[in-house]
Amino acid sequence: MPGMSSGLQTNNPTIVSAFQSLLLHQGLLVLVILALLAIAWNVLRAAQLRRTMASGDGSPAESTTPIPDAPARRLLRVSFGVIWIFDGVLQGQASMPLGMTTQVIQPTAASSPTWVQHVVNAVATIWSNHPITAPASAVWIQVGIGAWLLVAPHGKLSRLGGIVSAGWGIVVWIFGESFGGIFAPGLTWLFGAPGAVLFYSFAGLLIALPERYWESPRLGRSILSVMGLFFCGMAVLQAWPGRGFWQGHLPHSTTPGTLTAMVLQMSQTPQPGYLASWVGSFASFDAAHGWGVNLFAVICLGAIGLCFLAGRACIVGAAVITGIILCLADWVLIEDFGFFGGVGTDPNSMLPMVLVFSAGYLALTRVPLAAEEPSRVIAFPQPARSLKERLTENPTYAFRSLACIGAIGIVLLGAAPIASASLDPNADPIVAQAIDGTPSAENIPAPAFDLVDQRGQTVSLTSLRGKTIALTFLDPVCVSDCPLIAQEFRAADGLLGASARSIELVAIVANPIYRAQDYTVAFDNQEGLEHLSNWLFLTGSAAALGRIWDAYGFQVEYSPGGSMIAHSELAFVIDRNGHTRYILDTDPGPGTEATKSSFAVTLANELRSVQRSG
Amino acid sequence: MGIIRLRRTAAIAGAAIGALLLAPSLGGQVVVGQQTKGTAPTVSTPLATSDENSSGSWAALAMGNLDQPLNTFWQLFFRPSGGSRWSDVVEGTAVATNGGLVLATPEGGSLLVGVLPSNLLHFSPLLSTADGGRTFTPALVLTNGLAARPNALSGGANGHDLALVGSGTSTQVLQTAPGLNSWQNLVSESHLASSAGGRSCGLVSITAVAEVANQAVLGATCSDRSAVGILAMRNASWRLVGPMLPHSLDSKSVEVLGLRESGDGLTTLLAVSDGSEVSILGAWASAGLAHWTISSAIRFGAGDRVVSFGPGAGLGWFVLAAKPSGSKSLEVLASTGSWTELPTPPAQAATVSFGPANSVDVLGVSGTLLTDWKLVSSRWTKSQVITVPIQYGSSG
Repeated sequence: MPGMSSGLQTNNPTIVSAFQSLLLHQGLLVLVILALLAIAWNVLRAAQLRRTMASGDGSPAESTTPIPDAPARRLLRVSFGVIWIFDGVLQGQASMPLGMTTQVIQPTAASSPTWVQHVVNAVATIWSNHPITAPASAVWIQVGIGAWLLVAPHGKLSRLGGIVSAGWGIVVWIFGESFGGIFAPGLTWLFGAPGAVLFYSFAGLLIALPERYWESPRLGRSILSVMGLFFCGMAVLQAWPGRGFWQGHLPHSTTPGTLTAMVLQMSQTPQPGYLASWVGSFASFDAAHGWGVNLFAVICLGAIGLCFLAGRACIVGAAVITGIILCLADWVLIEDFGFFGGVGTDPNSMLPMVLVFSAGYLALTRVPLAAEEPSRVIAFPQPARSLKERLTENPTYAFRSLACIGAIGIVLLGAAPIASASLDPNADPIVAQAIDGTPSAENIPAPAFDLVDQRGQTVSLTSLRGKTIALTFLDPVCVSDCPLIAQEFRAADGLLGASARSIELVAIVANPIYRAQDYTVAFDNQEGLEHLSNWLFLTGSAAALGRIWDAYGFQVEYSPGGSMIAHSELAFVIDRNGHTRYILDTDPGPGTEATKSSFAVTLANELRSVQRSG
Repeated sequence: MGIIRLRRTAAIAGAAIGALLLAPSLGGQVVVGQQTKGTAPTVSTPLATSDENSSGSWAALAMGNLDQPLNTFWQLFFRPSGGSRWSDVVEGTAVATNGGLVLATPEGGSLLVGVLPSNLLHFSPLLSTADGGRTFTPALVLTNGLAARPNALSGGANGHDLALVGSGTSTQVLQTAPGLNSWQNLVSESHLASSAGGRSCGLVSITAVAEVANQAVLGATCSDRSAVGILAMRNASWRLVGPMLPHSLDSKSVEVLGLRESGDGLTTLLAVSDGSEVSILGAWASAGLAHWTISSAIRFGAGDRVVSFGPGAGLGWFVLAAKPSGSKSLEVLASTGSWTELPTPPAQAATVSFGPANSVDVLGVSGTLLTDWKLVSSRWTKSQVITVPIQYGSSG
């Protein structure tokens, strides 16, 4: 019935099932990749053993000592590797296919300037059109990047992993977080400004630096300087009056202040009861002591920032400890961990921030042994050696290289499908199937009709013999679904291209009162159908229409209370011999560009199929 | 050296990031910190109204969840001539009424109903009933949506109808007559503004249409401080035929709120704004529209809101207004030219209907309930409650 559309819930079983099925298939491909790598590892290992036996030495060749990984770099690489994998797993949640755009991307962009919304919309459209491929790709790209960072401790592949991590982080920051919300009002460190993924990118860039940079405390000072400036800037922002952070609630009103309102909203997120209770309690505390809470935040942020800028190890150490405590408190009580609710994409900004400034501290205070004791000799791999020699002589190098190739394979497994899908401007049929189910195949004679089209010409089923017909019923004064269905028919006609010449798109009036020709013409003009040569909007007497509705099993009834006429929503694909071959449910659901496009693709596919089968 | 360069670069980058982060937030702060200015007086042109013809009384009201456009449903109520009870007759309209209803009462006891565009419907279905809403017959469709004004539609004698359609620069007046199978352009707003009458009153917009003695009469908002924007065709040109306002009404603009035929004459309701207050007054003209009588004025201050206006007894009008506190007031303009304030109507009052023998009904709305109060011995007495079977969610 029009106006009673089912919508498209994020837990739609068709979408969830298809998503999980694709993840399973791609998971099997990952296993295949791992199996191939295991075989390659065995081959290499066998070659290494043969070489060892041939040389007469009883032990495998260990001609090089692994380069010591700087503790700070190791912290960034391992921790962000784990976080990327965790984020990848979060992308696998059942709500992601339909919830990502409507509950994450679009709400985040809504308060940003129009140009940001335009930029973000480009990716939101791809995600909406391909709701299975896109989240599955995100899963494997992020799991792959995480694995890459974990298995490649040093060398070019490790640095390349850092670059890929930084690049993907920027993509997520721009399109998923709407530039971290930095162009939207209400920006605050407390809620994750300037966006969690920006820290991923910063960490990725640090990992991508040549390893010699980690051999001096200067890099640590630079990291801490950047973080110090950042904290000081955030302190100024937090202290700026008039932004609602100094009040727990607005003066002379029960309206909560900015922070209280944000925290209250977070406490509504589906999560374990005790967490909601903690967050709710903090909201109450802030409502009562908003000024004190903000003063505490400003002082802490400013002090931590200044200590980082000071660059002295003892002062920085105290600031790091304070920062960790403050960030963890914020993470639990304000950001509410960030990943609950079914569409949480990451653990928000506090953990990455802690990791970055902690890495800065380590880089300042714990430089690698090589830098501290330049006299100690470390045997680096001889640059003259070929890749083959290194693979066959060094088991660790071979293992890490193969693991790295596997991780890159997982990234490509995610990237390739979405790159391919993004070239297709039309939505996948699965979206329409999620709303309307699959078309039902039939082969029965279509009931006859003899009516008048929008130009006053008589049209009957017999007169359309020899053409494939898409037949539906539309109310010309419908305010919601019928205009959407008409747009879907027009879009299907566009998809059919030249083959549309032997196809007729037919609508029959579905309103017992507004059935005059001037109403069908007005509807055509409204929907831009007046110039579509194969479009027919048929009408007739109330009695004639009633007979046809009954013959097609189409229900029309008056609705009470100022509502439009209620009617079924069906389309019939009729072959050139006058037989109904498919019946489609035409409920347009939410009527988004993706759902319209998807239905058009489905209808065009069925029309092509009937055309081909004769 | 490389590290030093990196450190400087990082510091500069950090400062730049900090500035970038601060800039939009501080910019936004100025807007947030602005003080709200005092509310200027408004004369909205509410669609809720009532009308009466020989078959009975009609009322059009918004019901349902008024905060949600797609769950606001305009309902049509009818009370037959001589009857005392109202009935909900909107079901047969067979179209969603979220956008609003505009009524016209042609001669002969029929009712012409225009449905305003809403949601994805961009044109206006029209329909008429001659049997108190038992059956509706569609009339010629208006391919441009009706303007959201209570007098945007006029059912003239002998099937000559007028419609004010479109909005902004596309506003125009259409006319039709028996035998025509489409509406035809009578005059566009831009054309009317450049006519002799439009220029002399500083025409801003067309607000109402009526037909007097088979001749179209248009109401408008004018910026001239004393000219009333009532225009009719004279000697092949649109000219002002309205009254001149007394100098005591210092105005910045004059808006024709309501316009209706009265025999061969015309009665109109005007809103005169001086920028801080709004005065509402009525005016009457006999046949030929040459001689006008102007009523006294009632004043509305900042925050007052007109909830409904419509025809009162005889040539008069009623104005139902809401104070900022939410309380309502009901002023009635009699044919003598003076205003009378009736007892304070119930807070739910949405429109007023004047029936035979000087009876007055206040119709109030709360969700799906319509309540009718009658004025008995200077008190509003509840006489009827109708539960309208509104189908929430049916238009979205």
